[in-house]
Order: sequence, then structure tokens, then C-alpha cells
Amino acid sequence: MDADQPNSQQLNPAALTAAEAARLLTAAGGRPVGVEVVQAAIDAGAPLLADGRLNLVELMAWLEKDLAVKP
Amino acid sequence: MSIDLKIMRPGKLAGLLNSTRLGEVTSEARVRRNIVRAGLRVGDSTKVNVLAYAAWLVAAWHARRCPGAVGEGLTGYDALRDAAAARNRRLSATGREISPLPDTLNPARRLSCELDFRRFCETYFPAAFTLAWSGDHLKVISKIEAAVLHGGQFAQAMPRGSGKTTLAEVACIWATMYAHRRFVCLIGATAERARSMLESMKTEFECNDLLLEDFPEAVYPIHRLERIHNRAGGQTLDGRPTRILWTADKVVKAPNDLSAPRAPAMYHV
Repeated sequence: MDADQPNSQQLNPAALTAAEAARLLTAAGGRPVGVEVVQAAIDAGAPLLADGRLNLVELMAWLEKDLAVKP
Repeated sequence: MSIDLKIMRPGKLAGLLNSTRLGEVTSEARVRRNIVRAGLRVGDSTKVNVLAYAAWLVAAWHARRCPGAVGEGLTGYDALRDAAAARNRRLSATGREISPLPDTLNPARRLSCELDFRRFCETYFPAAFTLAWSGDHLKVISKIEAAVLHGGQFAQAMPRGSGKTTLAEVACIWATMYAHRRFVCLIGATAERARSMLESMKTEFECNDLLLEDFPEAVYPIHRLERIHNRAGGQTLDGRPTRILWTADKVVKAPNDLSAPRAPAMYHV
């Protein structure tokens, strides 16, 4: 792992940048999650904190809500 | 309160997700279903790896949003089912879409009849009005024209078989085709008679090629129903619903200008 890229243990799930969220989710899920996918969720309305960061639990809640809607 | 995001019971995870500012978004049952769909790498019936679950949620959301990306989040039967559903949605949308809307074939002909009811009858309904007009006919036509364009009331009494009903039906069509009137009451002696008149007007919308040629924005969507009237609910033009309602007792046809936020024309028994 790059020295300038914190691993998942150092990240705060309550305040993540899109890039950090993508790295965390990739490490947790075992499959690559691109920054563009996280950014797409943000563009589609995923809630952000005042500083523009993501709260992982809020992101999950938003995804649950969006997935529950019939396409 | 610190929360362990690695291992959590499904019910507790549902509670956590319902505790954000978004309010209630899921249930324990839904979380359990998702765990089954995601597979053992996310958890089982008693515990769930929250971060792995989050990764699966993102992948599932992305797979739905971008059907071509199916496989990133879903596997096996789930992926197959979602791909089939996405394909069916695309086919359904294609089948419901009726664009492009044809252009008006003869704008001058259409314009010439806008304020001239007699000309409208002669131009677009030559099969219905085959005989020369009598003086009484012309008087009635003039009164209908004034009532439609400017309002007013009059009583019309003519001999049986002289064309009263046909004139009244065509007047309704004229009034709505040019948006002189949006809501038209054509009253019959009985409900059955009124239905018969409405059926006659529907036949003109479906079969009168002259109307189709010059009023495509109103008549083309009706032609594209191909008499399968339950298509009306889902029909779209350039992705927007045409809002046709086509039943035995009620007809709501597409607005004359589909791009304008105006009410459609309605005929009701």
C-alpha cells in the first residue's frame, strides 16, 4: 500500500472523501469500487456532510432507500 | 457511542440505517434478503460485515443504474434476473415510444379551416357531407361556429336524418382540434345514444386519414394505439406520456401541443 494512502484502519467512516470511500469499499468487498461509482451516487443525491465528505452509514441508508424504489 | 462496523446483527444494522437523517429506509427483513443475495462474503443469518455489506450495496446500486455493469455487484441468478429485467424494461420503453411525430402534411389546408367550420366539414369529412348544404344547414353551421368561437347558446331543430348529430359530432372535433374548446359536452337523449355518438367520433379519430395528415399531434398517438386501448396508459412521445384515455365512456386525447403545459381535450358520456 502506498505510504500516502491510508489503509482502512485509519479512515473515519463518518467522514470520507469519495476516493477514501472507494478505497474502503474496495478493501471491504474484495471487488474494485471506482471513485466514479461513488461520485455517481453523490451526483444522484447521496447525502453529504457540510464539508463535502460522506458519512458511510448515511451513504448506505441512501443506497438502501434508492434500491427499494422500483426501477 | 462507538459502533463496530465489522460485525453486526442484521436487525441492528437495519436500526442503524434507519437512524440517519433520511429516516426509515429499510427493515430487518430487507437487510436479511440482501445478505442472502450478496452471499456468505457479507454475512449470514446472525451477523453481517457492515463494510462488505456497504460494498455490495454500492455495487448493486451501480449495477441497476448501469445495466451494462451487471456482474460487478450481483452474481448468478440475481445477475441474470436483473439483466433480463433491464432488457425487458428497455424493450417495453421502446414499444411504448411512438416518436417521431409526423409533420402536418398540409399546413395551409389546416389553417384555412381554423375559423371556418363549414370549410372544416367539407375538407375533412367529405364522406359524411356529400350533399349540397341547404339554407337551414348553413344557418346552423354559422350558429355552431359562433357558439364555439365566441360562446353562446341556441336551439337547433331540423328534420330527422338531416345531419344534426353528424354536425354536432364534427363541431366537437373542430372545437378541440384547434383548441377553441377543451371540454366539450355532447349530450345524447340517453346514455346509450351518447355512447354511440362518442363511438362515432372515436371512429373518425382512428380512421380519418385527413385528420391524421393535418393534426398529427392529436391523432397520430391514437392511430398508434392500433385499437389496443390498454396501450394508452403507457404510450410516450419523446419520452413523455401522451396522457390518452380511451374508454367506452370517456376519451381524453393528447393535448394539441405536447410541449405546452395545457390540458388535453376531453369527451365524456
